Amino acid sequence: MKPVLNQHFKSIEFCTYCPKMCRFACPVAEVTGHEADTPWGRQTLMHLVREGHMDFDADVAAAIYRCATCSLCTEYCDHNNKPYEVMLDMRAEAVKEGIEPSEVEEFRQFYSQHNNSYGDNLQARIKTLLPEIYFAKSSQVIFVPSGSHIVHNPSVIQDTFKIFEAMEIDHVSCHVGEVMDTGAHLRELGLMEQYHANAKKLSEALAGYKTIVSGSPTVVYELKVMYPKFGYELTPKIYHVSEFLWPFVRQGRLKVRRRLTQKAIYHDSCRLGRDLGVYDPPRDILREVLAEPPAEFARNREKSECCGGQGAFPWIDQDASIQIAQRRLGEVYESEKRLLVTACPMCERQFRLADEKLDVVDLVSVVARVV
Amino acid sequence: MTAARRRELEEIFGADRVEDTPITRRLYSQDLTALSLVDRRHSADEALPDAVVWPETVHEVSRLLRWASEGKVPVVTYGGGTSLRAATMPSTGAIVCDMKRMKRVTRMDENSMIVTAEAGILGEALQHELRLVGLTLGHFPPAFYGSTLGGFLATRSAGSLSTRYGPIEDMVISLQAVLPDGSIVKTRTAPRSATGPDFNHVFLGSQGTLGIITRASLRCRMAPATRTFAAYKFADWNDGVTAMRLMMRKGLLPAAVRYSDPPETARTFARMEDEPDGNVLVLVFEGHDRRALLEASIAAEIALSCHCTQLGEEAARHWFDHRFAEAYRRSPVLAEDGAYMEVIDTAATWSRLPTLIASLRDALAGEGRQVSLYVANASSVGASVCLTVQGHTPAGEEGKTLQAIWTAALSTIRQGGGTVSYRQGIGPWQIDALKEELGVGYDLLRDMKRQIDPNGIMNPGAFGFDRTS
Repeated sequence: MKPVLNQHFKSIEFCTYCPKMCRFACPVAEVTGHEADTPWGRQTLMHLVREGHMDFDADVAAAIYRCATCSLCTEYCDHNNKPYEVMLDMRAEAVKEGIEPSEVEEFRQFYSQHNNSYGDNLQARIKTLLPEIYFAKSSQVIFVPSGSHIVHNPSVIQDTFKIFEAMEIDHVSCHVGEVMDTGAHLRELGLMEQYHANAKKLSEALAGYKTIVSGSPTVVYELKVMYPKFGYELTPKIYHVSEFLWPFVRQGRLKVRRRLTQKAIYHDSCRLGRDLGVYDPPRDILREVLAEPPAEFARNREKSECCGGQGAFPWIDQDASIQIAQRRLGEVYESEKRLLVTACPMCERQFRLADEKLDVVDLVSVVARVV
Repeated sequence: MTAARRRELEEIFGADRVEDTPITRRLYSQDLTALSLVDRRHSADEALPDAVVWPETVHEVSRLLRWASEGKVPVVTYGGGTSLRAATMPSTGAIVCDMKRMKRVTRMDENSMIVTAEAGILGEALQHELRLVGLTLGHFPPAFYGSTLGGFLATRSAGSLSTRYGPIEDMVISLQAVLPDGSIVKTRTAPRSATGPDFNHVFLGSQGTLGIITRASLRCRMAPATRTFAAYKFADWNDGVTAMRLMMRKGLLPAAVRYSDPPETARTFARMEDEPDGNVLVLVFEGHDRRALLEASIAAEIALSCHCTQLGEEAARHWFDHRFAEAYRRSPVLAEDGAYMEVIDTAATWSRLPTLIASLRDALAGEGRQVSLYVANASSVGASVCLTVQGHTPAGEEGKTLQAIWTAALSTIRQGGGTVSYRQGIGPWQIDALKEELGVGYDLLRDMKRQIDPNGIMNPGAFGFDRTS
């Protein structure tokens, strides 16, 4: 455990001596008001452990799981510190030492039982959503569906292929196989043994394609950034569906029947925005299908606030994760925008849990409404 | 904490808002006071509070203080925990009352331009709410992002734009506070009152010694539509001070006026391409109409009459965009064993300022030590001086060195006619200097403390008041 802390020496020390300049940006700290839930608090604990003033025990381990890894703190750090990287590494250490919170063990069992984070047979379910033709292996472009979409909002996947058809993009097939989940939550909870086994299988299954597309920023981030980091380099180009669609839209391939007149506001997901740098394609596409350009949250793009769903945080503290989503929604109510658009199944799910009456729509489904 | 006491607290707050785990007690045992941070490099011994509680209503705060008074349990009020003067460091056995769950904006009177908010709201969160309706508080202390409204009030803080918007006491229209016996004091929200002494000022700067501030109504301003920037370089340090004085004498009201000496200039603009050097005066004017431009042009005339060269607007814009940078500075320094950094603030009248600054430079100079300073937050009467002292000692000697620095600084400030604290409040090591500055006023303050808090439960130790004082 010490080598990991030493490796993060600069990050830990810089946070420890900082007057908590990112605390307001931390979604968990903002809903609980607890110092242990601030990046400063978590890093100070790491400092105390590193200095030998505190044991790395179950209480400390519980604290390091209370980070949603949304990375907004880094946006307000003059030193470009990334406290969530320390937390993720230390979660793996907590699991090695057997001091992880009980919720992590519950998740491990859940994942082992279902072979995914969403609790269903994703392989069977996806087959019921799309015609068989989309599962043919001959295509060079593979769409990797989000497990969250398959279980919670399957129409988004159907909408995606409806748009492909409408835009005459007929070279995309849909992934189906033994492994349907990237295992992002395994990594985020420090369950690295299962993560590696999962990543190995999925990366082998996807290796033969030229391009990978997904409607889930989590999937894109995992395949594009995390798999290579852990030695599972994928040769295909990997795109979020908004990045994939935008060049076709720009070419005029999207025939809009009638633009939607609903007032909409666009929420940047942490993964898609800060982690993958995809800010404009979703907005560009929305401008093509909405009568009025989408409104912006006061804190948008790089400064966008988390929905509470990141970093497997709902598995650790679902109540707090929903409060985080509700906090973000405050601005939607004030702006009287009727349609909340996002391009991330995690955000979509969180906002729905926070307010079931709110019209929360995936970007793809907005487009499907006009083709 | 005994099980019985914990149960009593749980009756007030519920089990989930009372915590006494080792990590919670440990994290709430410290703030950002340099002296304690450097001491903790070498020792894990510290005073730990018994528990932390998170009230959500003023009535819960009232119940807590009534309970604490009855049991003579010390209570420390906690906002952001970013004090540089040990204002939130608890004594052993204290209950820490973390106010951050009381963070609602309870009223936004756009017509009267008054915002009412609970004390636990973070500075940036309050500013965000105001921004959405086109207003600003104009209060931006260095640790703005990490600190709370209650912290601003209890410290009597000032910010980087206080020349225009005033320090926090100028913004307060009314307050709600809970006294140690649990009674709730509210002052009237009116533009002004001639109803005897102003009770708001009893609580402003009280550092949690007289009760807990739970809510405040604050004067807001229109968010500026225009902003102009200018920077000037002075060959002679005193010419820049004169330029500032003349600008304020003419009634100019820059949002920011900040004059840095060469080492401070080097720090401030280190990340800028073609960074300026020397004695640099930064001016920012903002507002809603041509006044900002007009004031900037008058300021330019005054500056140029005081033998300076114009630097253009880039340096001022850079400072403005990075105006919180000084709050981030300490981390890389303090991360290193043996290193120390302290920020010392004072204020003096224009008649005394040049001599005081020269004396402070002499008094604080030392081998292997860097002293930098800037003058800011000016008025027609005078201005504040913020000094940063940084250096290295053998590991373990940092605390002693910082004490020596403070002793020299406080003695020089006293002799030079400055105030012991401009905006950071009072730490335990400043008490003697405070007594001297306040004179009989210190006895009055102690008597008032006894009257309001006869059991001495509120933040014992602060201002040198212990339980029996």
